[in-house]
Amino acid sequence: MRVSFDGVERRGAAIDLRAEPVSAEELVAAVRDPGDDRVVCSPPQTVHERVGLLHSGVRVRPVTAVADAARTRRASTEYDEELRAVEAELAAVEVPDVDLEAARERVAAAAADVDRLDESVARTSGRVEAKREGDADPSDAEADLQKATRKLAEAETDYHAARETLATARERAQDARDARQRRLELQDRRENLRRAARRALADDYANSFRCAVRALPVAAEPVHPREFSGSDWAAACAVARIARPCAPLVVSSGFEDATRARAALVAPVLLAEL
Amino acid sequence: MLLVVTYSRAARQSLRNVCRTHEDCVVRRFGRAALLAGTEFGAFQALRLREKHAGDVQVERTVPLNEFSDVPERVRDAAAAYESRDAASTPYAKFAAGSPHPAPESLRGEEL
Repeated sequence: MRVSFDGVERRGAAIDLRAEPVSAEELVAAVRDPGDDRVVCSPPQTVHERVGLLHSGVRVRPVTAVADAARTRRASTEYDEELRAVEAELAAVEVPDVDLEAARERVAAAAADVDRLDESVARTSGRVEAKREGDADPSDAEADLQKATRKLAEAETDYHAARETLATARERAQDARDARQRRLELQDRRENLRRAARRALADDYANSFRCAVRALPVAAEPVHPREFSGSDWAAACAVARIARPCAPLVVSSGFEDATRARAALVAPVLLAEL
Repeated sequence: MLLVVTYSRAARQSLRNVCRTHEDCVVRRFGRAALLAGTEFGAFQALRLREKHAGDVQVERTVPLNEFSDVPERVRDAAAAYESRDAASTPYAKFAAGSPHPAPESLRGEEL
C-alpha cells in the first residue's frame, strides 16, 4: 500500500497517519475510492463496509460480518447456486409502468361534465315547457335546448371513450402487477437465501471467529458469532482478522501503534484520528 | 372499503407501518394487503402510500356483495345446489350438464 499526504509518500502495511491532517473518515473514503490516488491499495470487498473503519463506536452484527469475511476467503454455501439463479431472474424481470392516474382523472372529469350538462338540459327543457304553457314564443328556448342536448351527447361520447380507455389501461396494469408480484416473490426468495447463506457461512467460520477472538487483546468470550456477547469493537476486530485479502483497515482506537494493529488484525493498517 | 395491495418490499413495509400506526382505519390485514375503512382518512392513507410507491401500490374500492340484488337467482341456485351435491368429486361442469343449472362457460361470459 502507498499513501501520500502533503507531498510525503509512504509505503508499507502499517502506516501511522495520526500526525497528518487527515481524518479517519476521509481515509476510509480514500481507500474505497479507486480514483483517489492519495491511497493506492488493493480494492476493498463487502466486509470493508463492516469493519473497514475500526473505532470505539463501531457497530457490527457478528453473523453478517463473519459471513462477509468468509466470502473474502472464497467460501461458498449450498445456497449460492440458487441465489445466483434468483438474482439472474430478478435482473430479467421487466416491470411495466402502471400509472392510471391520467385515465382515472379523465373519467372523473368526463362524468362531471355529463352531470353538469344533464342538469342544463333539464333546466332548458323546463324553460321550453314554461314558455309553451304561458303561450310565449318558445323558439329561443328550443334552440338552447337543442344546443344543450347536442353538448350532452358529445359529453356522453367522451365519457364512454374515457371509460373504455381506463378499462384497457386497467387490464394492462393487471399484467404489469403480475410482473411486480413476481419481482417481489423473487426478492423475498433472495433475502431468505442470503440469510440462509449468512448463517451457513457463520457456522463454517465459527471456529475461525473463536480463534480470532482468542488471539486479540480483547476481553470477550470466544464463542459462535451468533452467541457473541462481547463488544462490537471486539467482534469487528475478530472479523477483520478473518478477512483475507483485505484492503487497508483504518484504525482510530484500541492499538498503541500501527505495527501492533497490523499484527493483531493480520491486515494492512492505517492509523488515524477520528 | 379500500383494498390496498402492495407489490414491493418497501411498499409492503410502509403498509405495515400504516397498519400499526393507524389501527383505527384498518379493517383487516392480509400479509402485503389490507382493507382500510371507507373513510376520508382511509383514503388519505391509501393515497399517501400510492404517492410514495406509485405503481407498487394498488388501491381498489370494495363494496359488500348482496347476492339478492347483485347476483341472478339462477347463479345463487346453482351455488346452493352444487354445494349439496351427492358426490364431492363431481366437477361443476359435469354437475351442470343435463341439469337446469348454467354451464361454467356461460357464467364466465356474464358480467355481474
